[in-house]
Amino acid sequence: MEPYTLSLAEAARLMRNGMLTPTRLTESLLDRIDELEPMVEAWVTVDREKVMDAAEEATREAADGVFRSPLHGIPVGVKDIYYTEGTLTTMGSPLFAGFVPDHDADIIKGLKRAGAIVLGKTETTEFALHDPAPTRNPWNTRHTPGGSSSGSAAAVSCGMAPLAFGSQTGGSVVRPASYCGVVGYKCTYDLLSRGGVYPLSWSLDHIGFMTRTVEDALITLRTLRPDLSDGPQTGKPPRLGLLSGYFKENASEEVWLGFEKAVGKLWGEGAQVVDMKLPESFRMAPSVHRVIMAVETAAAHEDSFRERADEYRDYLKGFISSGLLVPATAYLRAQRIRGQIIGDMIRLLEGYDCLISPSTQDTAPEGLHWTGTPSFNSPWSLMGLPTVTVPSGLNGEGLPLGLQLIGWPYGDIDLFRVAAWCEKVLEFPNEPKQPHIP
Amino acid sequence: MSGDGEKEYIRMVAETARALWGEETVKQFMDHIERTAKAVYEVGSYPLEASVEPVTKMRPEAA
Repeated sequence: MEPYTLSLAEAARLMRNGMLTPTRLTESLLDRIDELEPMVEAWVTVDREKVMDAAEEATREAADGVFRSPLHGIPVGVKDIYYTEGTLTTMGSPLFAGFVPDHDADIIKGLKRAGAIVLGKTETTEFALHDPAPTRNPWNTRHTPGGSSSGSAAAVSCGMAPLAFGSQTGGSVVRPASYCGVVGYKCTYDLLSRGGVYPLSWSLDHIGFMTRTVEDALITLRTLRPDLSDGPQTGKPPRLGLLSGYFKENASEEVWLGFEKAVGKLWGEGAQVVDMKLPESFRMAPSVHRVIMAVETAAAHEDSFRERADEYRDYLKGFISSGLLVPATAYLRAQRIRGQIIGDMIRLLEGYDCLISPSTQDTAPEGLHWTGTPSFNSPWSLMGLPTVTVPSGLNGEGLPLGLQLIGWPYGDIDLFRVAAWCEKVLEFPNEPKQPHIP
Repeated sequence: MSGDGEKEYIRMVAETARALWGEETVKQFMDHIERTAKAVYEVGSYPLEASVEPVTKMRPEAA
């Protein structure tokens, strides 16, 4: 078996048993990147020499019996808006075409402390908004992988990396993960540090990552936040609040049918599934999200936009312009309504392990000119609640569907426990996808 | 929410944009300007008690 096919957990186990080295795993992943990158275009930068140096160091330590964490020797992809010391970091923009940071983002520091290897920088939409990256969806290369964490999702999906980091302001982790048939996780707001990750909208930006199994995602979170504890465990199937309303009205027919089929399987295995009525305030979530994001994005880019507006691509340019026109009172009013929505949704969660919905409104759209809509994910970015997407099936064209789980604030570990239960029931294959070129 | 009020607000925002950046820019970004102005209008029309404070530091558990 080629090492690139292993999950993170499997690779870590083999390394501990002396049956695999970080060097061998890294070589296998680099070969996989060489083979598939012309078809998928997931990477901005892969510095072979630097990567192999790190892998050899991890191998030497492992040979001496030093394993810094369960991520020791595991190569990781990182979205190109994370600062990486000495490595090109472009933000997907010509404004940062030659930018090489002199320090690492907090997450990168944590990964390095844990013995992980930064494999390279993955493609992002411009400044993590909408103007697309060149990346293609491994399930059908004529389709978008989603965005903005486009390269991270595609790389994990086709076995170029067992773990890749992204960020989410609207739906930039869960949507591409769902489109690419992998597990995607967005943390509770600020559970993982945003330090050194280029901001898009400070109060909406979240760290997230993709893996091919829930177990791998849980290992990653536990490594980065070993202080997090589990809630009480009942050992029973979960109690799930099913969100219809807005989600049923906006989902495509095939997405909703696929969701119902997945829910049927969960119910068949003993999950308690209760249809939930969304609170009245929820209808405001899209507008509140838009106002806050437009203003914060305009503010984050205000200085460079004044001097270099022509170097921005069209979508971001228009979005910033629209944010500059929002009155201060409207921004504050949006933040006031936000508090109400959060309170109402937390009350809705009471008595449930988590809420569930389809992960996306549609499957991955055809074409690379846009990355799909974040409308099923941005409400949770607005509320700061943790979310996980688990692949749940395929549509008629063979494109992945996802089940989105929405958890309690800071209940991220417990949410993974529910996600693992759902993953086991749904039985979606988790081996790397060989790109399908129609 | 009044449809006329919303249209009037969007027109006013577009007018401001035109005065700031000129006709060509407004034409190019009208979709964004309209969508954000529509969201602002909707947010402005949502009734709130004066005692409701803004979220200034996100702490979802405290809301």
